[in-house]
Amino acid sequence: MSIISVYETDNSDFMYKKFASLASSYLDEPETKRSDSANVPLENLFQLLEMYRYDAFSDESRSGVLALDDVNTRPSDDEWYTKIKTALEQAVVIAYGNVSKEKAVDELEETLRLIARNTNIQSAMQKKAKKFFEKFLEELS
Amino acid sequence: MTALSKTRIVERIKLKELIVSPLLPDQLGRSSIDLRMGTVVLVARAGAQSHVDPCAYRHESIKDDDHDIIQGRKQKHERYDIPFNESFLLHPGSLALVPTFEWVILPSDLQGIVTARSSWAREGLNIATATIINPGYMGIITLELANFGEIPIKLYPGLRLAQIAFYNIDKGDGDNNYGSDGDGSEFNMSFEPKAGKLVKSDWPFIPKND
Amino acid sequence: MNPKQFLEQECKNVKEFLKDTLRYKYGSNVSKKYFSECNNRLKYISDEIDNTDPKDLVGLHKNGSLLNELTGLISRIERSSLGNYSWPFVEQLKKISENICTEQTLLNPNTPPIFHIFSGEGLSSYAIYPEQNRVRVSKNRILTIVFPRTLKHFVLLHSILGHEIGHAIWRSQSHQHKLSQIMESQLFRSGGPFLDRKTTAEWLYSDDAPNEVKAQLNIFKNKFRQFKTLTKDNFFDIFADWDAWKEEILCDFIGLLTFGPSFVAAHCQLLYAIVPSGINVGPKHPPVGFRVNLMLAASRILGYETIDGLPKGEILDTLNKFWGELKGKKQTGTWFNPFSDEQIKNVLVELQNLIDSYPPASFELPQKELLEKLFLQLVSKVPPLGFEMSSDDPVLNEVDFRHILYIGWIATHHHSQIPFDIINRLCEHAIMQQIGINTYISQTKKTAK
Repeated sequence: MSIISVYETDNSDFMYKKFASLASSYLDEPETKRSDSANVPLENLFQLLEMYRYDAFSDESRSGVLALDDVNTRPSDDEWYTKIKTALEQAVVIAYGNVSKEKAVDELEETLRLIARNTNIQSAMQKKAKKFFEKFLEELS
Repeated sequence: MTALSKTRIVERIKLKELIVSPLLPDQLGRSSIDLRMGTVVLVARAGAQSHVDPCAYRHESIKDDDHDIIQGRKQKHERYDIPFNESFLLHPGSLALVPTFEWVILPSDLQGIVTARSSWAREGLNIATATIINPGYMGIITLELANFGEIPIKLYPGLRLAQIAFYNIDKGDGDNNYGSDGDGSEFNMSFEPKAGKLVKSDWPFIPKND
Repeated sequence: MNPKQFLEQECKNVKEFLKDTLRYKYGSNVSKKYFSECNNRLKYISDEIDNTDPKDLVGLHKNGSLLNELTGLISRIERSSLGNYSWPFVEQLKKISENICTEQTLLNPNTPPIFHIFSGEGLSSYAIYPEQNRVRVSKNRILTIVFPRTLKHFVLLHSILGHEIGHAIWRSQSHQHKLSQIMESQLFRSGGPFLDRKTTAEWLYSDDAPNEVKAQLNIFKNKFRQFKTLTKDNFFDIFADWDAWKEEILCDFIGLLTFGPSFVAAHCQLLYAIVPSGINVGPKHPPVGFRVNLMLAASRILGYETIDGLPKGEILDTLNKFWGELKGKKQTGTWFNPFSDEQIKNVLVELQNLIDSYPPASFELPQKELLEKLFLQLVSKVPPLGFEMSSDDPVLNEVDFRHILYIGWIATHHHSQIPFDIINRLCEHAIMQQIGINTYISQTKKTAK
């Protein structure tokens, strides 16, 4: 029997807020994006955008193919993404206007890549990305 | 007792009377087949035993689930899996048991003798004892590799380290001599090298240590 | 020590622990990638903890969870050293699944996963854990493949991992999107009890449902305090996960299409070994009998039960016995067969198209000549592989390891009655030898060029 039981709640909101805030700071101060581990927030945002692109938010929470008798495991509260998805939708509309979801995601992902590669980003692109992160953070707060 | 020629070996393999599987090209010699190293190595663990003592094996066959006997057996050797393109270093003075890559089944009228390949022997790698493969044997052949040289030898699975020649038995004992121990057990096959049965039925000559 | 100081110390402990794991060997060309990936993750987490204010308790808790997760991953390493699992099978499994499990990451459109093998407990420990998509501190996804330790050499049963490949590819966003579309349009929404949660619950609680299902639902209600109020209406709120059930059905199809008949055999063997009645209803898994029936129907539709041109004789008889026994596991009654043949066929066609675009993930039936050669080797107690000596020179061929597995299963019904464990060892040995042959063939081809 372990010394403590902790019902771990999903911390995705918290982490994505942090990642978005970091990505935004990299746009303002590119010198903060120097170390390799600075790519972790960017990678996470990229993967989130891919989930959003494909509306594929179903995520890992199960045991193996033959673990049949686990009746003590309740069904997971896998609505971890509801608030995040809404925040993404709002942020895309504010930052990219009437552009299709596909195009907006393409541009955002390209911005993330340019940040990761320490490459100069066009001012218009940078502005839209900043607006996106700001709105996304606001929606998650 | 005559050794089979290449022609005769090939004939018997084609007839499926003799199995050496698989054979890659250039493995067939004029009167022998080269054997390749398999993918497992057993090396005696330094410190596992202070000396080889037949007394310790006296009860092996009767106390099969005895903790001390099993522990002794399991800890005697260090076992390594060596996938292809990985290597194993055999140090000078070391003895390693490796299986052949080939699966061998001998008919009841043939005996196999395994010896080292001379090209490796010149580097110091030898088969510690000429291994006799009994008629009816089924499975991998265990090669006892010893490094008699001064420097370690790097070995890779697939290398041809030994060779086997086949000899007619003057009078076969029939088809009831199969199994890896020639004990007549139809499904007793060797998949891996294992330590030998030191004492077998010699236990009357081993003093009791009770 | 305050919590932050404790976590900082724990980061140092994890670093030492990670270095310690390099005492062992973990398979060819795996150790370095896995070590680097874990090291990178540890660096990120350590930096985060260093930069967290000691008073930011939420931040410390979150980073502590990430560190805990990483420690869990690393601690499994020592149960994944070579010798604890069948490395020949694993090499072949990686070969067929790497392409389809490759995903797009920020800087690389084709990032392959890192495979980590782990030797687990008990029959039900077969799994491939793909890690969560959300919030990862990784560069490369780690796919942890778990084998029951006791079944190390039982390669015929390892075919069940085809199902787990389904879970792994479901974690890729683009695959999830396509797979979801296929399953919804061709199967779930085209009729049957998976239109929505309500329909599935109604099917489960219907009068047609077997008595064993009804009995089991009553047991849950009466035996478990948290399910005291369990009814048809709240079944998928408080007991089961409807989306998980649908994912399981998808993964069974993926298993079938990647491993073929040996998947069906392993599926039946293992599920019925754990639940002999075949009626288990689980929180994450639909009823066993329904799943087995679905796979048997799909096998029939795919034509797996026959081999074109196989003449009458010993092999055909054994093949028929094999399929006969499998079909004997079918649960009778329409309740267990809620989907039509047409629905099953349509979903198979679409899934097959998707898997075909990621060679060599897709299973293809062997030609009769190959089947005959492999069969005759195996029943003669020779590991079945792509070697023959019909002329004076050896003839070597590449053989898909899934054909070796299939022939293994067929041979379990041969009159020679080779014990199941021996057949497994012979097939495992064959897979190892075949890797050697394939290595030889590919290297000599390169040299010839």
